[in-house]
Amino acid sequence: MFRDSYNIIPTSLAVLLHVLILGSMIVAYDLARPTPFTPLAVQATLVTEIPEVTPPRVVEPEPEPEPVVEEPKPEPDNSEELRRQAEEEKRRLDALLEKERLEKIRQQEEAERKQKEKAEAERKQKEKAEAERKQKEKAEAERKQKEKEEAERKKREEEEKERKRIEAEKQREEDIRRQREENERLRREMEAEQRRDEIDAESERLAAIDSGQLAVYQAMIQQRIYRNWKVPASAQDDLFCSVRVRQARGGHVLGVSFVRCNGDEAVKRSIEAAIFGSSPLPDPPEPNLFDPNILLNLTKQQ
Amino acid sequence: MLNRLKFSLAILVFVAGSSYAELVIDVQGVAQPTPVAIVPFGWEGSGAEIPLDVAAVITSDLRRSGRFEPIPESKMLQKPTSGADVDFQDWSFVGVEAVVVGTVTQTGENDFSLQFQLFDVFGRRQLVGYRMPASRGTMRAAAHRAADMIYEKLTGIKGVFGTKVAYVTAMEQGQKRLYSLIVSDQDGANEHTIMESNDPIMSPAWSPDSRQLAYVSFEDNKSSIFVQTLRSGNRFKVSSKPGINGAPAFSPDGRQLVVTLGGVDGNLDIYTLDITSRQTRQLTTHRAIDTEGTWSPDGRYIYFTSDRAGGPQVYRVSAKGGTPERITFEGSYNARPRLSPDGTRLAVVHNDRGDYRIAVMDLAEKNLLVLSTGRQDESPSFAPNSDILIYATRVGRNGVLETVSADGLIRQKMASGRGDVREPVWSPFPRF
Amino acid sequence: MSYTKILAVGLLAAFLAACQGSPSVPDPEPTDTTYGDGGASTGGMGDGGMGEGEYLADPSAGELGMVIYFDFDSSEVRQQDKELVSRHARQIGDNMRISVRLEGHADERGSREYNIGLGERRSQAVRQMLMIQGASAAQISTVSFGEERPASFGNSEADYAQNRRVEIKYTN
Repeated sequence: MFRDSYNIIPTSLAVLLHVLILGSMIVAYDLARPTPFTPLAVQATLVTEIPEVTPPRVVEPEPEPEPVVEEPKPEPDNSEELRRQAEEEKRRLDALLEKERLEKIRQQEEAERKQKEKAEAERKQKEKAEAERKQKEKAEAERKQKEKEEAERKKREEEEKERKRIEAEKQREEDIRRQREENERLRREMEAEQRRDEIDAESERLAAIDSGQLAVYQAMIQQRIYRNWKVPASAQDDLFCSVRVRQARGGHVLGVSFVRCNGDEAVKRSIEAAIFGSSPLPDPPEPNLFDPNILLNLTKQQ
Repeated sequence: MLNRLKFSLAILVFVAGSSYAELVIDVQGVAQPTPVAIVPFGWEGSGAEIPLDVAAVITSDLRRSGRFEPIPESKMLQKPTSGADVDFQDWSFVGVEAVVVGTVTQTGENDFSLQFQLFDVFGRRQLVGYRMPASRGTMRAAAHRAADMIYEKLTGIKGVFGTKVAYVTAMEQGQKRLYSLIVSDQDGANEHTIMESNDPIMSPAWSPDSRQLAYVSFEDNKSSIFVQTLRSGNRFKVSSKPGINGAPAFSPDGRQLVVTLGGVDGNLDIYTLDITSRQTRQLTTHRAIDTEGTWSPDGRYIYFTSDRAGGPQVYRVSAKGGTPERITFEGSYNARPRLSPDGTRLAVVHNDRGDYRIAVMDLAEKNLLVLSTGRQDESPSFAPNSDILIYATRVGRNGVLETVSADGLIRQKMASGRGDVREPVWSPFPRF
Repeated sequence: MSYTKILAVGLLAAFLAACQGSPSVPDPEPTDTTYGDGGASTGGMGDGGMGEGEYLADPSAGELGMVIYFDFDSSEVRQQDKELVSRHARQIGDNMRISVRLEGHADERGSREYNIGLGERRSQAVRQMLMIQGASAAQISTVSFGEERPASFGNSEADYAQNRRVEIKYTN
């Protein structure tokens, strides 16, 4: 029946366009998820000054006082006295020499004795040092042994940690992979659903709308959002915000985008909070009533 | 071939149909307080206890504004004290739109550092964060300052949590009555008695720098106007002429008062009075009662009550002198005018079908909106952000203070254990 | 009047004049408090209530009513009170040394300073009437307490009627 008016080029372009549009809508994307949170530095309101440090004063030492030298006084003359004194002196010197000789002998003996003692002490010292050294070596060997054991233990721990980390990493990657697979599966499922029996679905859908089920679905979502939306007092009476919501099957809210809104930041925040706070949105009474696109028109009760 | 064409065309039809499909839902929301979480602040310092429960002060301030509903501590899944520990998933689960976290750190014997951060839960970002030095004595003021910054960030309106109110109380003391002029924080904390007397005290008025109060005192069985410096308690009499001396109000530059003088013949008129020289200049001469003068914030006009048309209505006259013009036309009784600090609105005591209520008139639109619901409401005063009014209402025999938002939507009673409370006046923003 | 009575009045007047204290402004508070206390000490006689110490009527005049009541929203002396005002006027006018203070009041409805005006209007009405009938301006002072010193504390019409009044106080 289309033989006469069939025109291939514009039609295929149209199909391509629709497929592109449809394809882009199917791929899950975030509309209103901002960048990950980084805490901003708290702004300091006060800056302290670092006080200057003065270097210590160097003090010159006082010069030493000069020593004073005295001249000796001259002696009086006396020769007889001198001769007697010389004899006296000679006797004294002889006694001294004798004393010295005896002293020398004594000293020699003393020195020999000391020598013997020293040798003995040295020998003892050597023995002690030897014993200590042996002790030290032993302790050293023990310590090394302990260290070695400790290092080995640590190494094992590290390895264990590493193993666990790799394990966790693997697990996480596994999770991500599974998640991706899941997403992939979901996507394919969605595609499959849409491809399956589309004409039947369409007619069923029309039937459902007729039977009032669509209105029920709308009311369910409306109630949920209404309950969660705390309109701030600053919202003006003529508030009107139109917001697009993307949902996945199961009601999980994927993204929120403001088409228009005459409210302030507080109002926009409250709307976002209401929508994300309502996630997952309720399931429709008839599965094929599900629509990934919702347009919310938000106003304020007077 | 034909079947394949049919199939692809059917796809086309379906695809074309569903790409424009969109569920349209209308939601009409109700104004409610915004749920927020103020997490108990962390404490780093000597001594087991934080010097002030800062989170409690901020919570109380935000709740009393009527615009926020802080959740109880029991509902908090985690209690972070710094931004790095905030888990937005947890908080969105609890249902709050914003979270405040903070710490108080000791930096000296009597010195502390107060730090807070405010986060948007669903936007997952910090909205504002500050660090402030405070001593033990100024910690409460710092907490109010934090509440101001949080409030302003979330609502766009300047907070007034660091401001003060003055009011008069009357208490039975056996056969006599004790009148007190009191100044407190706007949340009722830190009450200080400024003046006490067995004779009535009336009409307190703040100077623009918040350092002085003018008031009327009936000591010695006559009315006199005093100006008292709050910090020192020193006061001086600015007017004690024969007859009535009343209704003082400061000019925006703080150098003059507008007053009511009656003279020996009791003809009440509006005068301006130079505080330094005590010189007066008469602005009205009508034999009617002209009283309750107040300056416009731009200093150009003086608004006042006059019953020259029969019953009390609000008039205004140029501060330089001239012919008064009538401002209020709705209802048979409009008195005690007060302008909002932003100059856009006029609050009056208005007789609403037999009840005396606070009403606010937009000076441009000229429409009158009745804000209060009592039978003997009086003495309206705007907060310095022009967004809230405080006034006196009656509960039984006693006067009680109430606040109401300028749009009339949020009303709060102020707790009072002080007998009969009247004539509240809100201080200006403090000048640091 | 007998010489003794004049002396008695004079002595009492001197005594009363000395007793009228003026409020003292206290010293400033120590610096660790934010606010000083500007407490007005009340003068010994200045309690402002129905101070019997101030009232001294001529005993020969018999019991004179000291309060005049007014209708709602009115400052006209009622017909039934005009005789009373006349008798006061005669008493005052007969003796230049007598002074009176007329204290005007209003009921609590409406704003306070405007009610000061209403009370003053009532005092002035009585003052005018006294002056017409013989009292001189120098003998009469007026003050208005508006709604600040009610005679009756309730909020019924009967209470309001009790509060719309002027009280005549002989001050020497």
